Order: sequence, then C-alpha cells, then structure tokens
Amino acid sequence: MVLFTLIRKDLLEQWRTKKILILSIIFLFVTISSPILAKITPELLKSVSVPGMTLKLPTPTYFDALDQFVKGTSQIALLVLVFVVAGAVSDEKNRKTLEILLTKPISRTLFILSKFKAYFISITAIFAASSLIFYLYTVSTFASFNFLNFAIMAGNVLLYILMIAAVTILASTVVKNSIAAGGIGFVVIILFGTIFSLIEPIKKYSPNTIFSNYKDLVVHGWNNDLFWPLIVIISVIIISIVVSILVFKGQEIER
Amino acid sequence: MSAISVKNLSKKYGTFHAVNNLSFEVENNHVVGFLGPNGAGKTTTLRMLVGLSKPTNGKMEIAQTQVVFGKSAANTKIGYLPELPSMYRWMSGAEYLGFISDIFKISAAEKKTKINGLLKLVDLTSAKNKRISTYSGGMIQRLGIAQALLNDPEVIIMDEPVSALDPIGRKEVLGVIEKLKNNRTVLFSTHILSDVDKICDDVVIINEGKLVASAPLSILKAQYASPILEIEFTSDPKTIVTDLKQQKWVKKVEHSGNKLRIWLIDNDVVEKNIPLNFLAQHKIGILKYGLTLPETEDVFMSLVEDKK
Repeated sequence: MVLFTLIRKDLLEQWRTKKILILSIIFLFVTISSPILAKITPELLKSVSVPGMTLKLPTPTYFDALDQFVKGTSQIALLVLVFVVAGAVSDEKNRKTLEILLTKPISRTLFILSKFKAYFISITAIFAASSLIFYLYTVSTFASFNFLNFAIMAGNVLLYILMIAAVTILASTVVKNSIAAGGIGFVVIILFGTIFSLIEPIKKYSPNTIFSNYKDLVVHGWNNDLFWPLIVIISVIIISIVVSILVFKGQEIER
Repeated sequence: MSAISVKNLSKKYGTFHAVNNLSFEVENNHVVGFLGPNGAGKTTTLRMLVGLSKPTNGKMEIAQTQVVFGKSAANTKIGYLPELPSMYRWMSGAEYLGFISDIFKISAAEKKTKINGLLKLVDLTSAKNKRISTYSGGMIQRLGIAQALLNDPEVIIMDEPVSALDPIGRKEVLGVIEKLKNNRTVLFSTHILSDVDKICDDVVIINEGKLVASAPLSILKAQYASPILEIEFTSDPKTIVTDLKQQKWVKKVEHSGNKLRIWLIDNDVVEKNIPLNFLAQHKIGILKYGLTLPETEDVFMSLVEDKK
C-alpha cells in the first residue's frame, strides 16, 4: 500500500517534471527515424554522387531499419536516459524533500524499491510502445518479419536499458550529486559497451552481446549465446537494487 | 510519563562533539523551547530524535517508543517540521497533504475531512490547489505544520519554525503553534527568544552540545535571571556609568540615551535601597525607577555566560 503510494508519486513526478515526455520524445525519435533513415540513406548517397561515378547500393531492407533502431537505442536514447534517471535519489537529497518523507512511517527499503519500480515501469512502457511503433512502421515500409522474434530481441534490449537505469539509480543513491550519478551511469555504458567485449576470457558474458546478436535473434529466434549476457544483466540489476537498499539504510540525511 | 526522553545522547563528527552526553525529558502536553547559541547542537539533536541522523551514543524515546535510526516505528507518533521545509514543488498543497495521508493509510473519507480541517487551521484553504512552487515562505512553513499534524501526532518537533519568516509570517505560525498547545507536546528550537516567552511552558537550553538547563520557564526565570532595574533620567547619565559598572552589586549596565538598564546581583540590592542611595550621591534627576521581570533572553544570556 505504502509502496504503491510512493510509486504513484514517483510516476506523477516523472510526468509533471517532463521526464516521461523527454524519454518518450527521444525513444519516439529513434523509432520513427530508424526506418526513414534506412529508406532514404541510399537515395541521399545517390544524390551526392559525382557524374561518372557509379554507386552500387543494395536495396534497403528491414535489417537496415533494425540497425538504426538498435544503434539509436544503445547510443542517444541510453545517454539521455542516464541523465534523466540520475536524479532519482540524489535530487530528493539535494532538494531536502527526503527530510519530511523519512520522518513518516516509510521503511528505507520501500523508498528505494519505489524508485526502481517507478523508473522500470515508465521505461518499460515507453520502450514497449516505441518498439511496437517501430515494428508496425518498419513492416509497413519494408517486408514483414517475425514479431515474436522481434519481441524477444526488444525484450533483451529492454533488459539492457533497465540494467543501465539500475546502475544509475545505485549511483544516485551513493552520491549526492545527480551530475556525478549521471557520469557514473555514462562510465558504466562505456564499460559494458566496449571494455567488457574487448577482454577475451569474459567476452561471452558481455551484456553488449545483446546489441551484436540482434539480427540472428530476429531471423532465427532465441540462441544460447545470449544466456550468459542475460544472466549478467539480471544479476547487475538485482545487485544494484540490493546495494542501493543497503547503502541507503545506513545513510544519514545531511542538512 | 515523559513525551520525549533523551538519555546520554552523543554525536561525534571525527573528534568534534556536536552533541555531548545530552539528557533531558519533556513532559506530555507541554510546549518546550529548545534553545542554544548557533552551533550548540540543536538541529543535530532534533534530527537524531526524528531518525534522520545516527547517534554515536545514547538512547531516545518518543511517546514510550524507542527511536532507532533507519527504523520507522517512532515515526507514527511524531510530526516533524524541518528548518526551511522542502516539499514537492510540482504538487499542490492539497495533493501533498493527500500524499502524506496515504502514507499514514488514512481512509478516503477521513482524509478529506482532515485535510480540509488542517488547511483551515493553517489558513491555506484558498491556496490549496495552487502548486507549492508558487507559495511564499510563510505559506510553505504553514503547509509544513499541516503535514506534521496529519497523523494526530503525540509529539511535534519543529526546527526553527519561524526564523526565516517576516514578522507577519512569524505571527501566523506562532498563532498556529499556540492553538496546538492544549493537547500535544511541542518541542521547537528557535533563536528568537521573545517567541519562547509568548508560547513556551518549559525550556531546554544547550551549549556546545551539552545541557545547560532544562526546567519550566518560570522556575528558570526566578532562579537564574538577575533582577533588572530600569531607570529613566532627566538628562543623559553618562557621567555615572563608569562608576556604576564598578559597583559590586552591579552585574551589567546597558546605556541608551537618558535610560539605563542595570542587572543586579540579587534582589537584596533593591530591598536595601543600595541603587537609590548611589543615585542620590550623584544628584541626578530621575523620571522613572522600577524593576522589570526578567525575560527568557536574560535567562538565556545569564545561563550561557555562566557556563562559559
């Protein structure tokens, strides 16, 4: 009941402070622009070609739209998301709104859980809607492709996004400043996006595999190479929640 | 039975003792002023009492429930107003009170009656649907009081509730606190000592984190404050001020125009007519001559200076 009250308050806050709007705009931009970019890129290249030069460009397919969608989500959308989520706990500390709230009968565990759940709900809703719009738009622009396989791929990408959000909320709990929390989230994107995949012995566990295996996933459905990356992603989410609760339980609310 | 019990409370930051072995009790249904100079440890103590700060040592109870850092058991019994309260600026006043009511699981029917009653008490009915971001400092403070009362708390703790307000806002907030006097225990810190005179039954005075005094205000005034002689002369008494300051029966002299305020060492000085005899020797015309009742400020100064 109290958890529901806190989640409702957080969702209303995200709505009124335009965080949901910002995330919706950015995800919608990626969604709409991806099939369009895939479609018009060959035309654009043809228009800039010099006379005498022959450009052999393949006919764009839904794979090209998927490329744009995955790249846009893993780059621009994730960056914006990190800086939107970064204030989840630190803003409450900075703005002192916690001072009154924590003197009410609210356990600190519930407070942190409400932050994670509220952001997970809004991110999931926005990403699910964006993915559905992308699928419908891409199918209407290019050829049809398997929806279930696409849903599995989108689900994996969503888990990756939730992992970045979870680590950023953890950072927001540990540090007082939302810019620092955003910075930590950004570093985590780089860490999982590049460094993890470069170290051979741990490469197969890299969460970033989600973004390199998506074509195979959309064509053939689930493959076992994604098992360990998904385990790592889910583990990072759970660890972020548990550590956030533990850190927040021992934290004094400074004046 | 005490509404608030603090035993051997300490808070250390590194080697600095913000609160040092502090003990005091607050009786039920009393309004208590929590006083001390800047940096005395008032806010730190109050924040430990409401569970925002972790004590290094000691034990606290509110309405017979132990206060444990990070646990919310005692929170059902208190209402807390921090210094410069901050609420969700994107909510309206009524929405904020609704949100706090939901945390206390107040039923929908009771919630509406309660919120309307409290908005009326703090005179915010007409602004209840406006965003908190548009509220003035006084309105935020009054909304802060309303949220502190939503759960009908046995104990209300307020940190400098009037310090940041203009005279009108201060009067409004003091009026609200005075209305609470009959059936609740209120502990509030302030450095505006004239406010303590107006509404407090008891005072707890701390300095450098240690207890200086904890008692009913009337007893402290009788016990600690020196009688003060107020005299108005026909002309500026500057010629006698230096001589006056050297008298054994004088603790302190304040000189302003034709007036003098003289802190006497005790009441015997007046009973023996010592000041009048002194003035007679100096042959200076007197327009007014009288003893005034010591105010909280005089008690405070006397106690804090004594401890120094």
